[in-house]
Amino acid sequence: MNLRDQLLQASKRASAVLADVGAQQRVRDSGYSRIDPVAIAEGGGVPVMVRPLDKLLGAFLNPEGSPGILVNSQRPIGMVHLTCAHELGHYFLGHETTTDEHIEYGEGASPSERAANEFAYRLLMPRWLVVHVMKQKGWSLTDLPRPEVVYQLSLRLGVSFRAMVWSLRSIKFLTLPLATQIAAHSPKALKEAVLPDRRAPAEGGDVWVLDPRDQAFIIEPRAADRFILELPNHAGAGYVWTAEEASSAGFAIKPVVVDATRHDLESGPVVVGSSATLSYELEPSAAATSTDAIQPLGLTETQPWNRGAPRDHVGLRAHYETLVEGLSRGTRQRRLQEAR
Amino acid sequence: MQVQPAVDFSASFGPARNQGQRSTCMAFAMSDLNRDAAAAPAALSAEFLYQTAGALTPGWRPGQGLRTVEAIRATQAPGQPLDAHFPYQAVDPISTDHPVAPAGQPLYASAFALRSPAMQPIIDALTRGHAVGLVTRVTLGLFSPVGGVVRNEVNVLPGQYHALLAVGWGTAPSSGMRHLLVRNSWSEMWGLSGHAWLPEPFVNLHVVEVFGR
Repeated sequence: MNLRDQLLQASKRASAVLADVGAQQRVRDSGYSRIDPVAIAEGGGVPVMVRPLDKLLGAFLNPEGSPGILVNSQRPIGMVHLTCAHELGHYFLGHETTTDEHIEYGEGASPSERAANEFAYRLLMPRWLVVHVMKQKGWSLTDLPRPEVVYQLSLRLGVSFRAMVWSLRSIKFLTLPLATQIAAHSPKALKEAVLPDRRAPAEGGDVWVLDPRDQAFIIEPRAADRFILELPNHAGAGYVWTAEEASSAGFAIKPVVVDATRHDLESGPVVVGSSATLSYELEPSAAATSTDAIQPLGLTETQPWNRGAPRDHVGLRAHYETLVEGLSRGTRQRRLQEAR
Repeated sequence: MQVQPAVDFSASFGPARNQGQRSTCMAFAMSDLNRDAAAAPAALSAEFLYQTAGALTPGWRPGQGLRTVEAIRATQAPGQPLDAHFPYQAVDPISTDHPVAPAGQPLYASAFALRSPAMQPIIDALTRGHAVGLVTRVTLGLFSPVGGVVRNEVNVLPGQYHALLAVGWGTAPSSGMRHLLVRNSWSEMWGLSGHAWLPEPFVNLHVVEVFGR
């Protein structure tokens, strides 16, 4: 089989796996916006071990027909997902044991590695999922040349920024020159650009920019991530957003402010009244970030001195992704059930 | 009271009004300023002024705020009917067309201009008995006056501006600090029956435009 056929077969296999696990229905019905390769591996009876590794990104182990996946936990979460999907590609494509120091294979790589990579991209970033997330967010093809949009898209699909860029190229949503130009942007700079303190989160944390359109999703952040909310604004009428106590335990929000003595704020006549949106920073508590459950985040816009004022409401949902070293949660549960 | 009034003609404007969720603060402040200057017998139509000033603004869409310069132009020509003859609406208009003035009703007009955003000229105008329009940046403290006084702070909500009408001034006996008494359009529930005191450092730092006679 030539390389072209192998890549085509890998792509079809990924589509078949997604169909088998009911991925489209899960995305449509639940609100989760990313494909979980660990859950797919566990569902297929392939245990996943997550642990720190020195050089390796991951490995597919298949001694005596007993497959398993090893993933380096010391990499950004998008890379962890992509590595797991890549190793899963080796499994579904019938490959032998292999170790991977990198998974961005170029034209010089072996056909099996390129096929596993094709599988991973098609598994985590199928065209229908990209279209679904873009539609929910109100993004069109004309928004994709903006690197910050591609970065936010990558967060909702749970992949790295650069993997997202090249996936968009492969489904022809970006031209090669545009993809090359966007891929040259630093994710760190994209994160810093939206934060009031211009400091990217520690430990490779991401920065989510959320708005009412994210009510369609269950977002899956990690503990180190930070959040900026872009909310409809009536501040000029005395309205501000607050987190509802009853439905937002563990979360607080505060408007993003600037020091008027340190910025040149006006360069001409000002528009008096509310602008369309206003930025807030969302701050989760430590308890919220370690909770393995869907957590509601209800927000209300009202006048602080008048609780009887008309209220606007936004309801977001977050399910923190916790990466525990050792056997993945599903694999552990499966082993326990087998031992009983 | 934390501030001792030197000049206070807030009562002559009637109860503070409520703009609801709309971006109409400039229309309310300018309407009350016009009511004072044109000696109108009752509250003037903020709705008419909002729609007229919006129609005069290039590229304006209903729901957006106003610039002071177009609000001044709209107040001068065609002016405004009484609020009772062109009442305020709960929601924004659909059209950007000039509103049609109610037939057979007088329009009240005044010639205003942008003035110095400094404390002393504002106090001088108030002392002469003239209300003064203010455009201020929006601070978090503006939402919640304490004891009727807006706290002074340097942080502001970026890109947010609010229009108020200065209707008096006074001095805090404890500090000697001068304050402006402002009438807001956030209902009578805000501050002191819809009014509050702005300390001089707040005025100096955050009031970016002043308009009046």
